[in-house]
Amino acid sequence: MLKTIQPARASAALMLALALFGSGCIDDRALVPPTVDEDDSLPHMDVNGTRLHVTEMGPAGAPLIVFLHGGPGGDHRSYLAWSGLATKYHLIMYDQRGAGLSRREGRATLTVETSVADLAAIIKATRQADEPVVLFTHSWGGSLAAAYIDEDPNRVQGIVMAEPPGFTRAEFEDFFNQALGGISLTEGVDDVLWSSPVLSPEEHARWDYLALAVNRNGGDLGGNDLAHQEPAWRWGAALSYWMPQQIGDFDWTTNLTQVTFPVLWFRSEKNKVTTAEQQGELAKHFPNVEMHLVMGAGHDMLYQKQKDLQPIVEDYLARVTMAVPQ
Amino acid sequence: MKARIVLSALVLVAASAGSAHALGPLDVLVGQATREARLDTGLQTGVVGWLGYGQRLPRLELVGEHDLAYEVRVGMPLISPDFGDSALEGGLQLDVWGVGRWRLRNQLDLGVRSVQTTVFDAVELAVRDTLSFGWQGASGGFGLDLGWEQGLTTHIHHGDWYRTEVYPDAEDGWIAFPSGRVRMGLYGGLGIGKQVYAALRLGLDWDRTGRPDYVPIVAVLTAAWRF
Repeated sequence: MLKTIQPARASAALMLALALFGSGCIDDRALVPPTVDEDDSLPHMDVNGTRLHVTEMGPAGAPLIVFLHGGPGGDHRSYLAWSGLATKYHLIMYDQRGAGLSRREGRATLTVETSVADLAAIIKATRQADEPVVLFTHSWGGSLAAAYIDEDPNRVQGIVMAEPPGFTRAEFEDFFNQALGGISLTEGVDDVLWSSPVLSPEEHARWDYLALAVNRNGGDLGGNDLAHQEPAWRWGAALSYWMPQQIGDFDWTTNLTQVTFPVLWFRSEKNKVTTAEQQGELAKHFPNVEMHLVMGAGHDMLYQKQKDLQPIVEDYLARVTMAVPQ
Repeated sequence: MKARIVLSALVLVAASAGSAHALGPLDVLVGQATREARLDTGLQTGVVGWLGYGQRLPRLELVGEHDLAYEVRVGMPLISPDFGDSALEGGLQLDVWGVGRWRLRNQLDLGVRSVQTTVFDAVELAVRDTLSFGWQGASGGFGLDLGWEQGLTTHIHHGDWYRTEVYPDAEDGWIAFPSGRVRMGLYGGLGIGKQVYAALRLGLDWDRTGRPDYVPIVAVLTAAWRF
């Protein structure tokens, strides 16, 4: 004879089952490396109301080289290949707000304006006196640098650019249209779409993890070396999602013609999203550009061809930092 | 790894034991035939293909005068097909309410989806409930549907590249209630002769975070053979 199921017992059994199930599950945070808020041992700096993951090397007081990574949403791990510059220069490499191992932030502060203010705050906090400042940038980092110096072209004494997507909204739209148009149906794209239902990206950790998977499976439009990919810690998914949506109309070229120093500019042979010709057009915003075509590499050229490019960068840094009275 | 295989096997058995799907109502509930084999191809979380089999069940006292059917189906993305990326779903569809040729149906599915990327492998167990309302004549029909899919658990196994190059301390394991999404769409179909039925479903998928999928548009063409 069947016994009547007591609702209270059934509820208790269900609760127990859920508790046992829950206790056997991993935390989302086990998917990705901890941020500076979760691991105090990570080098960090509190600036402009946030906590940034910062690697600082070289003698304080030497010319300051501030590295701006790509994305928005990347991190500075691949820049560690440039640590050799620390013998002569004061290097600041940091993960931008909401990216890499820096603190995760909500939508409201994930804007270009805040990122520019973060950069200004970092320079103010690390510059000892009047030593020259050079921005060493990759991709999106170059656009961020333009937004920074367009406010005051004399803020820095040099910029290294490596395939920025653009400095105006129209240039950005061209870039993204080119990127979208170049996407082809590959197994990587297949994997990204097919995997989208298995995790909802409502937590930063989970969202960052999924975004990294998308980046690593999204094909090689940038001409990157997929067999030896540049290293990264953790993608800032919220930053890369919200910043473009909140960017509005912009033109960071208004004052670029007043830049008095030469800009060192790298463009790669293999990048199919932004071609060498398009990079040439972007470079026209600056009065004096030293353009180098990096053969045999794609968008990840600063990492893949670091040894080849270092002498060029050292020569440039020596010239632009010596040009400023100490 | 062993736990993952055991759970996956259990899920497969459970899904095979009683199942259905979410691309519009099963035609066996409205036609004269009692069985249906179908091929679904199109765009939904990638360029996908599904093979399904559905069958009308005898009326049960449990559900009164309402018709009931089950379906099982297997699917995978078609760009580069492999069983590492595949899914098995099954469920029950109930004819809930009707006036004339207007019908309201509810479909409850259970599914398991396997995913392989360069960053991770995953297996997800999910349930989905779909309400569909529409007009169904003898030789065709149309309607709209609204569904909610709830992930119950996803097992993540990090790939070698991720563990070696990105995060050596990453933990493999199960994540509870990992996902949720809304699915909504319009469907229409037309009988071609007595045994062939062709249908098209257009829709949108939204993650529970309020953000659409990378490709939120759903466009699936169905060819069914009734017998």
